[in-house]
Amino acid sequence: MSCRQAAWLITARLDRELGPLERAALAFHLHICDACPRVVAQLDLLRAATRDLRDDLEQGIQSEAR
Amino acid sequence: MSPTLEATGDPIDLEALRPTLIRIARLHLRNDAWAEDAVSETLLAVLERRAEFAGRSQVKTWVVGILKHKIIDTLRVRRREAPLDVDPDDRHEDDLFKADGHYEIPPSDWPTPDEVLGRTQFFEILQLCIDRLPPPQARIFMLREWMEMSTSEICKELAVTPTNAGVLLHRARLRLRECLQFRWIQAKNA
Repeated sequence: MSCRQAAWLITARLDRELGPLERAALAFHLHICDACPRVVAQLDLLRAATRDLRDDLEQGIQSEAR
Repeated sequence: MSPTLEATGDPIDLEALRPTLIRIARLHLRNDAWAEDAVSETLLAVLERRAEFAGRSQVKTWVVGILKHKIIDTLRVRRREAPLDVDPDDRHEDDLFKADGHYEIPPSDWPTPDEVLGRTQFFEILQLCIDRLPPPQARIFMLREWMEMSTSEICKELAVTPTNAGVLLHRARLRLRECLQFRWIQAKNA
């Protein structure tokens, strides 16, 4: 599996549960690859940051409404 | 005088909410006129239904909930003008990877948003990056990550195939990671 192929599974796992073969293939690739575990962490940060941005803006509505 | 909510005996300035609501609607809709309309309809709905409004602590949840419905309604109604289509000429992924499937630029370790530039500036960069996505990618990314709709909900509501939804989300995330790398991580070293 190449990093380009792994990227598809790394993004797909954010939207659906991977099948057993996909999971095993990705786990193996992440084990031998330096680059892709960083991409996993970056995309996890992207998800968390988007939700933090949302919560901040919606919190702003809360304080403006007071 | 701007409309207020008086159910609590403590008037709430609805007009003060407008800028933030517009910002949220624009990120989702990628169309200023539609965003203005969605927010106006939201504020009107809030006024019309103020009798149902039980307590001030719920204002946020209530107003945001109405806005989210209006945003999804807009995307549904405007489906033909703003289809969640996959652009067959989008070559962004080809630019990210070498012919052998390795990253053209090796990904780096990212710090936390608080460690670089500070939280406020990070959020500005993140919004800029979302704004720079091709509109179909931005719209589906926002539905998935901001509204936390499942892909099956998105596909059902907006008549997208699961394959196209997957491709759009994949491209959106790879673009956002590249944009953050460039505008956030590299900016700190500049």
